[in-house]
Amino acid sequence: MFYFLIALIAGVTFGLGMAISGMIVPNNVLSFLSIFEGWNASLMVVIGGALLVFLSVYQFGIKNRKQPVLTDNFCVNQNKDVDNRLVIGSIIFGIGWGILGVCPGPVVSSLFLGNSDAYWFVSAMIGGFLLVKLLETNREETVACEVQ
Amino acid sequence: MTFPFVDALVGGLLLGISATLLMLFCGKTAGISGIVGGLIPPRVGDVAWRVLFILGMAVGGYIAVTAFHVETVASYNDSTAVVIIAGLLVGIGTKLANGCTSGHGIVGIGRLSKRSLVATIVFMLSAIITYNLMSFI
Repeated sequence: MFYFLIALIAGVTFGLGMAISGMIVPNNVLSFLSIFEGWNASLMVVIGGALLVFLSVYQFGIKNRKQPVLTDNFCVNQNKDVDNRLVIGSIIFGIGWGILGVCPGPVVSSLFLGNSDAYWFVSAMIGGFLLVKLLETNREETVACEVQ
Repeated sequence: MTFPFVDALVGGLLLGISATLLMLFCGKTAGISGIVGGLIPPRVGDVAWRVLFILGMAVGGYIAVTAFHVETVASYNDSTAVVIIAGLLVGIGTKLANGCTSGHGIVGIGRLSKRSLVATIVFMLSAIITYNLMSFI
């Protein structure tokens, strides 16, 4: 029960953070990418702020725990290899992100804001997930998680 | 610099708190492409937390805009075709790379994962090159 409550609270906190940080406005992201003209560092401040909390708590409070508070296992990717799939995928993601200034966090946080483009974007993104799934039918999920 | 530094910092801290809550209590990565992608297809017993987190995000965005009057946009500043192409590339890319700005850039780097550090550098460079090439065209 608390497991699901935390998932909901963490989601609300995430959506608040995305909106308050200005990242749901594509121009704020695009101006970070615009290194030659009118550069704005807000994206770096956002990631820096997030790391200030997460990196320190993770390294000093979570990493050495045997299990999370409300379930049996940490569900994190154990793969350590920097492979072609990771690099090519990141290049493709960067192209999509650079075209519009929209990535998954901001667009999902915008689903109740009356922006119909957010639905187009999320539908196309899910189409992209499906396409990769269909082309890689034999691939097993790399993150093995216990079923809750 | 003209951007609202405090808003960016407060928003970032909230993202960090969210990622910490989800990892510490539920053992899950607050990576949005992964949380949505894990529903495609849905797996028995691995649906509810994802749906609740996604629903929470949409509610959080709504609260910020309605109660705190933060800035939002009515649409993305491009044609629907471009929005769809961008979404498709983001879907394919994040699926192949197992993560996006949040999963790699915050949670992965926070865990000091080499893969996530490489991914973050590559997608940032790729996005910077894409944006600047497009503004020359």
